Amino acid sequence: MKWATAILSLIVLGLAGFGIAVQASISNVQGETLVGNPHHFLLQQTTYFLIALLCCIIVAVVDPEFWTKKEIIVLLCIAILISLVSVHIPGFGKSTKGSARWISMKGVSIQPSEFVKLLAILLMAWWQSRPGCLNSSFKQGALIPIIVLGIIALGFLSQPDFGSVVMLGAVNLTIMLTAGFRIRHIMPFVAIALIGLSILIAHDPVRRARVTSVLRLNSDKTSQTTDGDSYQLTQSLSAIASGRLYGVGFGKSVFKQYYLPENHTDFVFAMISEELGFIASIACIVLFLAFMWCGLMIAIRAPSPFTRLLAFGMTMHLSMSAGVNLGVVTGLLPTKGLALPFLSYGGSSLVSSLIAVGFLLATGWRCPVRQHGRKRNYTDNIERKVWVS
Amino acid sequence: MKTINRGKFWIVLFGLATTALFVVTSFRLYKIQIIGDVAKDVSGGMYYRKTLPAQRGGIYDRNGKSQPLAVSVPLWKIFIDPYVIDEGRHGDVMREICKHNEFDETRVFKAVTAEKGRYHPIGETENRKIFDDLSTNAVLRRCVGIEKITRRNYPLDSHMSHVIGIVNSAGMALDGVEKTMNVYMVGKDGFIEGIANAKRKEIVGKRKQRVEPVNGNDVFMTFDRNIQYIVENALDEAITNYNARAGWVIVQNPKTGEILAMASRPTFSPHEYGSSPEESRWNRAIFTNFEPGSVMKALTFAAGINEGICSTNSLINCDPGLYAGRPLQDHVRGDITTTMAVKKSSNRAASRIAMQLGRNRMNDYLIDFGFGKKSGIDLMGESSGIVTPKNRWSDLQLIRIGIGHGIAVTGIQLISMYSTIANKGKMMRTYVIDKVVAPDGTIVLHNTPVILSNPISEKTADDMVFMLSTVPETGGTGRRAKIPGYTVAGKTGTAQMVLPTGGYSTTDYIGSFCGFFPASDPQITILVSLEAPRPNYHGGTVAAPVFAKIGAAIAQYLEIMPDDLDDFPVY
Repeated sequence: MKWATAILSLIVLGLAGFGIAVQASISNVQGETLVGNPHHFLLQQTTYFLIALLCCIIVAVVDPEFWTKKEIIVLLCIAILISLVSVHIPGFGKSTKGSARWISMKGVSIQPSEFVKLLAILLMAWWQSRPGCLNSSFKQGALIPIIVLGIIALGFLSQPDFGSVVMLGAVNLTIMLTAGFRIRHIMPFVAIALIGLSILIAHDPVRRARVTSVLRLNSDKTSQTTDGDSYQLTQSLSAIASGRLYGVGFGKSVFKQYYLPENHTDFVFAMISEELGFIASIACIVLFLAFMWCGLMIAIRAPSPFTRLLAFGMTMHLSMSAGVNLGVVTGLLPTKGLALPFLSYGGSSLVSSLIAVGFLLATGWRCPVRQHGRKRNYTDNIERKVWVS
Repeated sequence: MKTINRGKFWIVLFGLATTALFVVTSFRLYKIQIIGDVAKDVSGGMYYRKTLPAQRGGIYDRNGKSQPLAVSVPLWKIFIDPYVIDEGRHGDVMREICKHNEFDETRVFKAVTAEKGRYHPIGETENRKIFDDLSTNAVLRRCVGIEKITRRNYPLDSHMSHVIGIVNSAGMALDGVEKTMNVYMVGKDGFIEGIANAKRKEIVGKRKQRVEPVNGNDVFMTFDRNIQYIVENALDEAITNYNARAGWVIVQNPKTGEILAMASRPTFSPHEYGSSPEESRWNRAIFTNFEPGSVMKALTFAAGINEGICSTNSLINCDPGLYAGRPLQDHVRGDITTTMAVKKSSNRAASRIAMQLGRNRMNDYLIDFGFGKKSGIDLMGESSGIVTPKNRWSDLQLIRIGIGHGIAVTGIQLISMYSTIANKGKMMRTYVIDKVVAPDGTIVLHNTPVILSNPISEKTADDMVFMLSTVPETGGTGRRAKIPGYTVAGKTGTAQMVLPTGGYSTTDYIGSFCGFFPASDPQITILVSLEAPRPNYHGGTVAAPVFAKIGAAIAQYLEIMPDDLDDFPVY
C-alpha cells in the first residue's frame, strides 16, 4: 500500500497548498477590514499549515499501536473531558456569535471539538479492536460505546455545536458497523438519536430556519427571505453560479466583497467555484474522492483491526466533512458550520485534519506487502511493536 | 476472518455512499454553474453608479474673468453623526472640533448633543485640510463625515442681484441671467459605473466606465462692474435723499445697444433669497409698467420732425384753449419754436403735433420705437408695456399719448428710444450677454450689435439731439442734469402713478430723466426713474441730479473726451 500512501500524501499536500493559494486570493478583503492587514489570513494559514505538517509527521512516525496503551487511553479520555468543559470556563473559553466553541490562551484560540472528534474515533477504534471484546454482545458492542459517544455529544450540544454532533454520530456509526456491531443492537439508539435531533431542530427557531431555508430554496426560487441563513445560502449559490465554466478569475471574486459571510472559512468552496469555475470545482471533488479511496485502501490493507478501524474512521471523518460541507455550500444540506478540510481557513481545522492524515500515513507505511500464495497473518503484525520504516 | 471480510464490505459500502454524495454534489454544481437555473441573479444589486457633478459656469462682466459676478465654489460640508459618540465623550468631541475655530460653537454643540438623526451639518469649509485633520483625530474619526458640495457665490451681494439672478442650494436656477442662460451654464454631469461591494462602496478594479463631467460654459455680460458700482451707489443715495419708495437706473451704449449697468431698488441679497420680500425681487427697470410723462414727448417731436409737421425753428402756438375738448395746463403761452417747446416741455405744443400726426402715424411711431412689446432682453420678468389699440383711442387719448400719458412703458423701452435718437435714428437690439465661452476657450455664443429698425431719419435724429441738448441749459427743465465739460441731451418727465384700484394718485409720482452725452458724439445713454419721491417729485429735481452724478463718474471712468470745454472744470 505504499503507492496509496504516496498518492494520499501528495493529494493532501496539493489540497493544503491550494487552500493557502485560495486564502491569498480571497481573504485580503476580510483581512483588511477585520485586522487591517490584507495578508493577515494568508500568513496565519501558512503558519497553521507548517504547524499542522509538523504534527502530521510526528503522528505518522509514531506506531499507531502506541495509542492503544492503557495509560495513553486514560490520558485521552481525560483530555476529552477537559476539552469539553474548558470552553465553558469564564476567562478561558471564548464565545463568538453566541457559541462557546473556543478556548483562548495567550492570544492563541483553539477549537477543541475538532480534536475531540479525532480522539473519539481513536477511542472507538481502540474499543472495537481490543483483544477479547465481544462486538456482537449488546453491552460491549453497543451500550458502552454509545454512552461514551452520548457524553461527548452532550458536551458538543452544550456549546452548542450541532453540526459536530451529527458528524460525530455519523462517523462513529460507520466505524461501529465496520467493526461488526449488530445492526439490531444499534438501530434502537439510532432511532432515539434521530427523534432527539428532530425535537431539537423543531424547538430551535435558528435550526428550524436553517432546515426550512434549504427546503424553501429548493422548492421556490422566487421567495425573498431576509433571514441570515437564507441570505448566506443565496449568496453562496449566486457566487457559484457566477463562476460558470472557467470562473471569473483568480483573485477577482465579487462575492468576497462582504457579500458572502464566512467566505474564507466554511464557504471557501463557493469562492473556489466563483473564481475558478466548474472545472476547478470538479477537480476539487475528484481530489477528495481520490483521497477517500486511497484512505479506504489503506484501511482495507491495514496491518491490524485497530489500525484498520483507525484509518477507516479518519478517512470517513475527513471525506464526510468535505462531502457535507460541499452539500451545505451548494444548498443541498442545511447550514451547519462545518469547515472544509484542508481548504478552509482555520488553525484547529487544518491541524486536526493533518493529524488525521498522520494516522493514515502511519497506518499506510506499516501495511504488509502482499505476498503471493500466502495469506496475511494479522497476529504477526500485532506482535510487531517496533516501527520499521 | 469472517469479521474482517464483513468489515471490508462495510468499508466499501460507506466508500460508495460517500462517493454518491460527492457525485450528487457534482451534478448540483453542473446545474448551478452550467445550466444556471438554481441561483437567483443578484448582480443587479451590485450595480454601482456615482455622479460626478459638473461645475456650473461663472458669470463675468465685460472686463474678463478676474472679478466674477457669480461663481461656483467647491466646498467641503462637514457633518456630525452623534449616534456613534460614546457616552461621556461629548465634551472631548466638542473640544476637538472647536480647536479649529472654523465652526460656530452653538451649532457644533447642538449637533454633538442631538438625540435624533445621524446627519447634523456643522459648517462648510473651502479647506480640505481641516477635514483631514478632523478625520485623522482619534476622538473624532468615527463621528465626523464630509460631503463635497458646490456653493454659488455672488461677490456683489445685493448689487446687480436682479440681473444676475440666483441658483438655489439644489442647483436650480430661479431668476435673472442664471435662469435665462442656464442651459449654457449647467454643463453635463459625468459618472462612474462599476460594481459595489456589500457596503455600497465601489470595488477597486471592477470599474466599467468613467465619464468625465463637462463643466458649464462661462457667461460674459455686457455689464461693467465699475459702472454698475457707480450706478448702485448713486441710486442708493438718491433713494435716501429724495425719500423715494423705489427707483431704477439703466445705462446703455447707444451705438451698440449693450446694457452697461442696470440697477433697481429695493433690492435683495442672493444669499438670502428665500427670506427677501417679493417686491424686492422685481427688476423694476424691465418689470414696472409706468406712465412716463414728458419723457415721452421726445417721440412726439421726433415723429413731428420726421413727418415734416414741424422743424427746429418752426413756430407752434401754445395759447390756452381747449385741446380735444379739455383745457390743458402749460408753463408757456404764445408762439414758440419747437426747440423752445422741447426745452420748456410744452404740453400744448406736443398736443398740437400729436393731433396733426393723427392716430395712424402716432401708432406707427410707437411700434417702430418698440413700445407695447417686449424688447427680448435676456433677463427674467420683462413686461411689454401697455399700448391700447389705436382704433380705441379717443382724441383726448391721442393728445395724452403725445405728452406721455395714457400709455405705459418700461424703462428699457424708454432708454431704447433715446439711444435710437442718439444713434442717428438707428434702433439697436438691446442685449446684456456679450459672449458665452466654453471651458476650453471656444466661443459658443457671441452677440454682436444688430440694427433692428430705422424709425427716424438721420436728419431728424440730429435735430432731436440739438433740441434735447437745450433741455439741461439754463431755462430748461433739466438744468440739474448738466455734466461739467459735456453737452448733455435729455428730457425730464413727471407723471402721476396709477393706483392699483384705478385712477391716479394725487401724492405719488414717478420722476424720470432720460438722456445721453456727449451730444456731439453720444457714448452713454442713462435712464433714471424714481418712484414716489417726497416731497419733491419733478423729474428735473429728483432724477436729473442723479443722471448728472452718474454721467460725470462714468465719463471720468471711461475717459470720454469732453466736448464742452467752456464749462470744463480745471482741477
